[in-house]
Amino acid sequence: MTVLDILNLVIILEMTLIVIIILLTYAIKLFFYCRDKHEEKIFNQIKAFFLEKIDKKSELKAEEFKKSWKNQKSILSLFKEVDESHPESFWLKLKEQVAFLILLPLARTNYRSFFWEKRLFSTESFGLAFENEDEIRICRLVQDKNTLVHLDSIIAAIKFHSPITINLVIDCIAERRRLGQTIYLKFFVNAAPQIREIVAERLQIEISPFTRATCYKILSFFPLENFSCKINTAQDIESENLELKLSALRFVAAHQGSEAIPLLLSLLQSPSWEVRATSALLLGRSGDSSVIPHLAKALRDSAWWVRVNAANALKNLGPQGIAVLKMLDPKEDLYAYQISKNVISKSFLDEEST
Amino acid sequence: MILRTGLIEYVDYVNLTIIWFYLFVNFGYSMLLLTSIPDIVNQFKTFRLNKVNAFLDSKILPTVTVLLAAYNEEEHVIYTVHSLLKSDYPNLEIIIINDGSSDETLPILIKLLDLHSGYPSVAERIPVQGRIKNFYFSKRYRKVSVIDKEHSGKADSLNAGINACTSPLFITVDADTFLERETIAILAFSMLSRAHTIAEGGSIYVLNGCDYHEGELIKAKISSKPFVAMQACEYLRAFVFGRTGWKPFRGSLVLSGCLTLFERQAVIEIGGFNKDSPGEDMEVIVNLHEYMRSKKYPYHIGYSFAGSAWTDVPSNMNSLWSQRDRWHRGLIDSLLRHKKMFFNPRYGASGLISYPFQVLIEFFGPIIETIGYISVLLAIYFGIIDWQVAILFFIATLGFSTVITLAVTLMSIITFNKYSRTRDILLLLFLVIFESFGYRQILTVCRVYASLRFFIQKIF
Repeated sequence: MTVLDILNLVIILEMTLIVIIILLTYAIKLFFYCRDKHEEKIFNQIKAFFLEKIDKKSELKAEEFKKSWKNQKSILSLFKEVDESHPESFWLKLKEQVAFLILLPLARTNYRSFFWEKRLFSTESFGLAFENEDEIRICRLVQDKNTLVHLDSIIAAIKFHSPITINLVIDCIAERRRLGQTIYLKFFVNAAPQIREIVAERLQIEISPFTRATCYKILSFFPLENFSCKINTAQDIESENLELKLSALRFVAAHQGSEAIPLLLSLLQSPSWEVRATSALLLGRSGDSSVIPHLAKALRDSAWWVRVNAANALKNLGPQGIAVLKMLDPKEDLYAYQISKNVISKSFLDEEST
Repeated sequence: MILRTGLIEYVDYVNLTIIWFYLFVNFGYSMLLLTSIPDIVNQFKTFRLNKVNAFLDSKILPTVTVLLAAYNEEEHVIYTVHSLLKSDYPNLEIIIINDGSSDETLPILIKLLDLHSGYPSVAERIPVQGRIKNFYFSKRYRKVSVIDKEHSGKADSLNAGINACTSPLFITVDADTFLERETIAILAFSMLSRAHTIAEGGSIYVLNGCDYHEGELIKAKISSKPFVAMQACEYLRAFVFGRTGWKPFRGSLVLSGCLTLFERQAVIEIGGFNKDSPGEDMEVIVNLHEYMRSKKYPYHIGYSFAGSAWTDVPSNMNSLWSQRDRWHRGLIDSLLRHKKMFFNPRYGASGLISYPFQVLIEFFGPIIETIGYISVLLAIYFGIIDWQVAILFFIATLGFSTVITLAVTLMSIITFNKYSRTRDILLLLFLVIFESFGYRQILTVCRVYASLRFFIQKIF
């Protein structure tokens, strides 16, 4: 075999590969196209079935639902579509029936599927319908490695709100960094009020500062009126763990209102700039004009963030606070002056825009 | 006779080296392709489900500040700002840094954004060279502010932006780049949902030739200009597997400066963008890898193919040459600055795999390729090898690269399919096969020239 023969062979091989790749690509594209068409057909059939039910206001019987229609993806996307066009109560009742009779059994079958999409549709289904026996399934899905499945199952776990699921969610959030936690915390907006008792109980026995900090963050989403559990924050505010200290401080400021002001004022002298900055920010939310002299002093703080938060806090306190900002002299403290001017000019533009 | 014998030996040696080099390169690229396939398929499935925005519709989420450094960008900056204002992400702030533009960039911004002079609120976390001349707030869009400063380069301007940024996350966007509505949300979601991600890059497509209006892409098209069309094909390849494939090794060493989301604190800790580096975007990522590895901090540099932007690319030979020359000098500069990472187990996969890959393939690749071309031409001239064999050898060596490029391009077509017109897809397939004949060689020579220029400047 000469060099020429070898080169010819290599080139033929490469050309064949190119042709195979192109053919394979279009075969895959064709497969996807056919699958999408099939799903669209099923979707339309189920939609027609639901609309007929809504028109006739007739109850759903499981045997009426064809086997080929038992497709979680189609049913769930149909739910979203019909929710918008038919917000009436009969549809909500029918939806609940479909969730319990059709989606729940499918979710129980698919929650361990190899394919993450099937697991995802199972979590969405558990978010709509579950029974006590599903707790372990939801817990398993919370620990799923796929991000979407994991996040959707957190929603289901919060809806389920048993002590086991909520404690698992707390653990999941606690192991995240502060920024990553934000994505989880939003799930607690409008969550069941019973969750606060579970979180407060956890707070009483928990040792890890990061988990305790997470508990405070979650509790800040719930009103604490008529709340029987006593939360002792004093020790956490003294904690050396900054995350815990700041979370406890925010919690106290949000729930104790003006009673927290002496504490916030004392922390305005803290050696940690993060604590001083947070205290300044929280004082601005207090609405109490007696804190203005303290915030004016914080405008000259050595840390930039403290100055910025103090200036914004003064702005939030209204005309009296803004008057302090306007009075600053650049010769006395240029940094404080600049920050004040920055906040004033921004607020002026905001007023003009509105 | 002696010369001829020596030349024959030399040609044999070079040919053998090139064969081994190509086998190594293609093995590397095949591995990258294999590691990128599952991630791209997953991202595509996730994207199709359209669920990301449902997780990001809350004001609880951290604010993302867009840092837009503009130097003489009067033609594009307004469209870029329009595209940013249309973003789906709920908590967005925009800081435009006018880097001492001598054209109408600033007057245009003042007029369009209804800017009013204000006082800076800038923490000097990173030393900045260019003096800040003025600070503006937009009356029309309350989240937009402009820093007007003396010209000191993109890296220094971005550092000025970081100093003024009060959000924990910031994203760098070029002034000639359009972002798709959901791009920032996708990048933020990827960053927030994966623990310890400190930077998240997005994919870049070529804007030239596309239809757009007020910062919104109407129709994606491949330009009819050959140079631009070649770049469209090149970008598609580079951003499909050139970045995604590195995910298992804690991320690529290169993310595009056109579109990268950063955790502000991490960038401050490494001293911001290096204003002395010709390629500040690569430098900051390599620096982050080195810093995090040396401190033994858990970290990840992410890449979301689904989050995309469209950028204006050079449309003529001169500007393309100068762009690639700068990129390659940036690569060499970064590699030299972090040379202690080379095959250093202390830096884990970045030191043992990613860094050597950049050195061997991106730095030495063009040099070896050029030596190969020269030696084959010499061999033909002296009649050592038959020209038919030379051509077949050339086709065979580049053929496998073409196979990989084609696979990558088709993978992009199957999944995100930005170019829907049949004409564009056929053109892409044509370009993939024929970019090896001419375009590749021009870029190879450019990179060798950039290497020589870099070292000559360093020595003298």
